[in-house]
Amino acid sequence: MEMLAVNSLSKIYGGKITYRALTDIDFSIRKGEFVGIMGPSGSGKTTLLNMISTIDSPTSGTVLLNGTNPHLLKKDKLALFRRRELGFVFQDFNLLDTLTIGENIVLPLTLENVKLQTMEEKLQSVAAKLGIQDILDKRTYEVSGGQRQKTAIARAIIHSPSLLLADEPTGNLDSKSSRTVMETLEAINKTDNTTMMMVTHDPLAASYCHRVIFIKDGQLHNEMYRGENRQAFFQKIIDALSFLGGNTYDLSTIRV
Amino acid sequence: MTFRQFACNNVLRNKRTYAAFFMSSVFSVMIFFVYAMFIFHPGIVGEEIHESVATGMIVAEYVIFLFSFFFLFYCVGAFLKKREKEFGILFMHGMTSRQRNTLIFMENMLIGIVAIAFGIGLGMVLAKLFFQFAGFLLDVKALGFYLPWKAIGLTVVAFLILFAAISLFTVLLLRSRSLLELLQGSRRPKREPNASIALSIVAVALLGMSYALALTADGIYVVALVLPVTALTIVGTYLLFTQLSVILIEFLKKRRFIYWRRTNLLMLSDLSYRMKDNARMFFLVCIVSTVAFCAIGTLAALAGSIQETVVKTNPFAFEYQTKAENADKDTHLRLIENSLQQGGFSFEKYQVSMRVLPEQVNDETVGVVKLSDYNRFARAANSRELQMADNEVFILLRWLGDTVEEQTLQIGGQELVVKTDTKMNPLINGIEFARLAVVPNNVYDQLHDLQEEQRFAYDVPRWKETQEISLKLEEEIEHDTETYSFSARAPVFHQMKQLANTGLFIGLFVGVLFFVAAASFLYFRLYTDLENDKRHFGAIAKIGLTEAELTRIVTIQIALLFFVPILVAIIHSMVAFVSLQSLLKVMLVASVVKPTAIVLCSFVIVQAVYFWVIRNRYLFHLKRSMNWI
Repeated sequence: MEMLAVNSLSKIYGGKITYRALTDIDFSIRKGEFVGIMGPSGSGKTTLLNMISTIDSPTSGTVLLNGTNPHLLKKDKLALFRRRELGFVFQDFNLLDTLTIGENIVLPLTLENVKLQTMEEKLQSVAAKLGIQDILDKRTYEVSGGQRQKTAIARAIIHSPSLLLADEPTGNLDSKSSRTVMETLEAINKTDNTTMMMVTHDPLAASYCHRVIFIKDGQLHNEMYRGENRQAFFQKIIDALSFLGGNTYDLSTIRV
Repeated sequence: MTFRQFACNNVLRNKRTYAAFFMSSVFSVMIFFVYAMFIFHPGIVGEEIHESVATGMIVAEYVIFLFSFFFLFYCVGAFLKKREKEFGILFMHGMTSRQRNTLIFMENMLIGIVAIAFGIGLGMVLAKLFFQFAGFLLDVKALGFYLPWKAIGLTVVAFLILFAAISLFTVLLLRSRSLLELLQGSRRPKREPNASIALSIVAVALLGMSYALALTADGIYVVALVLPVTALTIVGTYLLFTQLSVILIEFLKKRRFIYWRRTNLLMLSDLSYRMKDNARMFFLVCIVSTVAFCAIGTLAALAGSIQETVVKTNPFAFEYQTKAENADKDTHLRLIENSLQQGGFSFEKYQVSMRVLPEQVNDETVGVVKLSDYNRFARAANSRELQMADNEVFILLRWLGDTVEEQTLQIGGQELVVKTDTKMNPLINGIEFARLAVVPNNVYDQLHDLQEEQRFAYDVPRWKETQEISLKLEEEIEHDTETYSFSARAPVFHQMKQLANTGLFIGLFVGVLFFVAAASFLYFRLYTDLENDKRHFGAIAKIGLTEAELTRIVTIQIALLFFVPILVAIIHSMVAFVSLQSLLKVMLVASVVKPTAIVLCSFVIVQAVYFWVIRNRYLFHLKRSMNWI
């Protein structure tokens, strides 16, 4: 069953110099699928994600999520759509510093005005799933990067969205934290059957996906399916990337 | 976590961000409340002086309220701008615009309610002190403390409305940005403001024009020019900061030997990059400070010159003017002298005779006084003596702007040439006549069979203590203006002093409020900059910036922020004072220089201390973020 359908999506940035960021993108994601988007810098990966996550709107083409085109929704309906159908994980976590870890996680439910007891139950179950029960009362600056990203993931899945979108979730993490975060995402995908789409530079992170779509210069380049062996998939991704003509920077994980 | 808890958390866990905003809210509420306490005080009903003070305070209340509104409105807007990214994240998680508005409203009301509570509490604590100070300044017995339910009610209602209105207006005026822009938040690169040379020239022209108008205006014309000059100055100042300053920085940047020298590169580029934000704040701080300086300076000048003014208009402690037929003359004079003797006051008595001319000049009856008599009297009053030829007559002006139209005057069959000048005189009129002319001795001696009037004047060195005697005498000597008149200096002095001190008293607090507001603008501004500067200097430190260089750059930047607007404000107020001086001369105020200098100096000193404290805190935070401390 198709959960997300992207049809001939294009984006042209106006302004002094017009720039064609995306050209005629077509693809779809089935329910429960975990899809990675890869490509060299400036290939339009993040633009594509922004179109699907409704942060930005396309110049032409449609995005259908469960049959709904969010770009045609009125402002308030769009807010409700984001609140109920989508979950986000960002590279720089985007947690609110004024809230504790637990409060950050329940934020989507707070906005939805859910009963306190339900919030508490969901918080405990999602925290247990991610192994962050002990830090719920801590503030964002008191925990590690990996824990922050887990918090962001918890916040993105607490309301059981139809689609979880992730933008370089391992971009700001060291390799060990990257691995845990990816394993967590994989586990959530398996146990909850959550549909996921992830933009990444990191071949290792991408190797956790079922399928990786490659984009180059704003156009679909090719896609690869993972077989049984993740290690082999990882190798195939690296080969594909070097074939795409990226430089070494594109091959390595960004580390800060 | 419910939505309400969420709103509370946003504020309570961000105490430092809201500190300056909160403090100035508390301060506004406090001043408003304390004035309200005074206005509603049961002790002031029926007391004339207190009632006039209360009227002044009601005006001040409006000023405080309006000012608080605009100030807090600006602050809330700036806060929201700083929180763009936060709102972006919240929108991503499905916050509706409605929820955002509710959130802003709840947060503002929370701050508002706490500020009202603190302001009233602080006002209660300081009320006793305030009343004492009021009593001291107004030279009356201090008012007692009371439970000011009415004042509390007024303050709570007024400020609840204020905070609600601010929230409402903020939400209504909020620009809707795209989610992408919001998420980029303050990291979105700002563009340098475009400045036009034409507008910079306009700025110089406007300021030059308003200065020229202010400096050349004379006497009462100053009043007519107040509005246009103020408007010109405000527009000129705005353009000065938004246009001319940018042009100046650009000019410096083009001179490579300046721009590429040591830390100038960093400093100037940073300055021009931030000028857009700074310009508006410079403008606000400058205008607010100018208003505060002018108000307090003028009031201080008025209050400080009361004695001089009163001594000029009332040259003697007691004066008694009488017609020849007045039967009570001796009784009255004895009454005055006895009262003074009983009170233990030493005094000197002067006497002068005047005659009334039979024919009117320009519909006014004219009196004459002998030159030698007048000069004796003038000497006693510390005024100047006159000199004239035998064919001249000196007509005394009664007020500034009074004119003499006659070229000659017919007195006792002689044609005399009229002389006059614009100085103030100790003797100006009598009971029967409206104008007084000084004539040569021989002319006066030839005048016979004319109605005569006499003036008795008492010079009392300790006249300031004669208030009680004066009031008693004023009561006992009935006001029968047909045949005599009596005047005492002390009551006039007391009344004037109370009036001036009332003004000073009210103006001082409003001025301080303005100053506090300007200070919190600065604090708020720096607090917003701190995060960016940490990133900015952190990056530069990596390529090698010494601690001394960092200190230098930051000190100069903060010093500019603190002193440029104040400097412009001081220049504005000095021009204002120069033109006020010519207006105040009309009101017999001698000099505004000394009180103004005191006011400006104390402002600069306070500002310097504030600068030092803030600069050290700022550097401390910066260095700590770079692990230098």
